[in-house]
Amino acid sequence: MSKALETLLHEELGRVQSPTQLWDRVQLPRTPCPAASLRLAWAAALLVVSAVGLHTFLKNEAMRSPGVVRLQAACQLCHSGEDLQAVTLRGVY
Amino acid sequence: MVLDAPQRELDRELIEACQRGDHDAFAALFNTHQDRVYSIALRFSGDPSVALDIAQDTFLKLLSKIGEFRGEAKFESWLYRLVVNSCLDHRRAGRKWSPLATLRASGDSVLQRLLRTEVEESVQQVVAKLVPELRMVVILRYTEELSYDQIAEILGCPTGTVASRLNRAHKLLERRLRGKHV
Repeated sequence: MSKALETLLHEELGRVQSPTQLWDRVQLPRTPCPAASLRLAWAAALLVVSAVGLHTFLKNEAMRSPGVVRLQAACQLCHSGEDLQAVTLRGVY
Repeated sequence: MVLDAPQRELDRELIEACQRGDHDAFAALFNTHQDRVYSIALRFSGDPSVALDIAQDTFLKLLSKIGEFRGEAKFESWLYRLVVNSCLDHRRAGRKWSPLATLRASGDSVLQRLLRTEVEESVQQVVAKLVPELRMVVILRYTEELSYDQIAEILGCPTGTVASRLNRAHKLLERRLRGKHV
């Protein structure tokens, strides 16, 4: 290889300064991407639905328990016709 | 390689901090190596916008893989491998790359800059016509001024292969540049 070619390649293929926008572009992906936000929203929705379902199930279970039924029947002796659900539930919980 | 001992020590501290998730350490590491990464990407692609994409990919890979860096190899070699792989990945993605426009920001006069740009474009165009494996060896040799052994370590091939690739590249470049600048 000629010395001239070596000198030319050293001179013309040297390092260059990187543009300032490179840092901005490296920074950008640090914000959560839409797919990640969507996954987060799905997880939150699933959690809320599960909580509501569990609450309803426990409430119905409490209503069905024999103790509550007997209590309501006893109360009805004096308070016939009145809505006793709220009172008995508070008592059970 | 290119870095001296104090710089290497500083890098080691920055890498450890980066592995602990220290964002300032990543910024410092970026500042130290951004020109090196961008220059290789630009010389390989010949297009400033593609070079930005490649450099961005490289630093994002660095950020995501820094935890895997165990220090068995030199950090610079590891980083060079990331850049080389990003360059080759972009090449495989099949994007058409255009010859490069004006690159060098210097204190030269307008005339000097025009002349320099002409020579630079001419050399860059000839280098761009080399097949990727020859081009990468030329860039690591002349942009980064690495030894044959260092290039071999980065590319994962024998030193003899690096020498023969450079020899082939020199012959092609000499023939194509003859009468123009050589």
